[in-house]
Amino acid sequence: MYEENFAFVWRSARRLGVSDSALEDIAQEVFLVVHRRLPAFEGKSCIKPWLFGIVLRVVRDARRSLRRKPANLGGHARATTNLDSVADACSLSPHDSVAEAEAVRMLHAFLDAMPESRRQVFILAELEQMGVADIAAAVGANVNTVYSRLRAARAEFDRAVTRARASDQWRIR
Amino acid sequence: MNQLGAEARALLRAARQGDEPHTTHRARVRARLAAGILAASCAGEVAGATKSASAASAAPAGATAAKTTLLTTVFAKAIASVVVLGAVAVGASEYLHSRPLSAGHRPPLRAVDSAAIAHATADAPRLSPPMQPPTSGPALEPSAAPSQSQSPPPVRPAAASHRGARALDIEAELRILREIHASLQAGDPARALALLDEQERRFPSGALLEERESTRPVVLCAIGRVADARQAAARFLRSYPESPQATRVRSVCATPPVSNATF
Repeated sequence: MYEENFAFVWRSARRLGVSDSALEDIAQEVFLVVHRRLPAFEGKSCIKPWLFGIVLRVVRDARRSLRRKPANLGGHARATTNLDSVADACSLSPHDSVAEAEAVRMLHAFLDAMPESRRQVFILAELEQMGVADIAAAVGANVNTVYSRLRAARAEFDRAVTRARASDQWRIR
Repeated sequence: MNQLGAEARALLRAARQGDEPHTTHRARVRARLAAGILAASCAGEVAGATKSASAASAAPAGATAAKTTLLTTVFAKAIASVVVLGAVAVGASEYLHSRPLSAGHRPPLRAVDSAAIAHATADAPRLSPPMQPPTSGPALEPSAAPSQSQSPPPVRPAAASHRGARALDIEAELRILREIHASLQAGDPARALALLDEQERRFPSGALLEERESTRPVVLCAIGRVADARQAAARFLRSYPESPQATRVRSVCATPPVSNATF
């Protein structure tokens, strides 16, 4: 359970705006909740929507309790490079690593700018390739609402990327 | 529904793998999670889980009861491992301080002592989870609630009561292991040995048999019965060669390497 779903929990928390310094706390808390609630889950639905619901709740609670120290969870505190992976011999080439880190930085910046409800739907649909019914279960909304949020999130993301590219080209000139 | 443009899709493709955790993250969180569960268990959750296992086994929810009992066993074994680790640390320390050793004995025991104590104490301040757990579950919770219309599979009362009794046995075994640890800490290895014998008599093939038998050489060594300690260690290593405690048991009361060369 832990091994199979750790990466999903980690990615989800990161994309929901949890800083690298708080990710381990959040992941630990999520699995503690999972440990407490797993007997009640009993495999009645897909595990990932259920897990994402827990991640959402834990991140929300952590934000609430750490509101006085927003940098602990906020996007500004993100590290742009994963220091643990720098020395990994199996990782990407230095150029690819930099390109990927830059893409991740941009993605997180766009996600940070999105309203929370759209962000959740966008993460699950576009990055986790989750179906709309599962997304609806994960975020606790109906299918029509999910479609509506996804449409708005895609348009917003598209505009942000286009704007960023245009800005880059203007600077290069 | 409107689709993303080519640039947006390219960015998502490039960034999709960038949020993956490293293996060190996975390992660190796993260790912290075990510590968090252990802390919660030490605060009384094992007793709660045992009670709920007993209660659940009395009710017809067989699957839940079985899961809870299994979880209780797993967590009890995790706690027992830490207790045993502590016992090794304390026992080795006791042995070092109470017995004047020859130069040949000292180095391996000192190594065990410092390593085990460091390991056993380093995590102590981090046992409690760093954040308060949420007070309620996710929005999805209603789907996790048991359906009224579904009838759970029937469980034979005898099997249910057996599971409940087993969970209580594990709790009792764990309590004795903790007392053994406390006796070693208090410098009373004789009481620790008496407790070990009591546990063996009450639970000859208990769920924490491996943990008990890995403690015996430590206790015997702390009393000063070195030959018996080595015999117990050899017996343990024959029975549990792959045990996580094997390295430590091997080092307890270790003899210096003896050259077989004859002159």
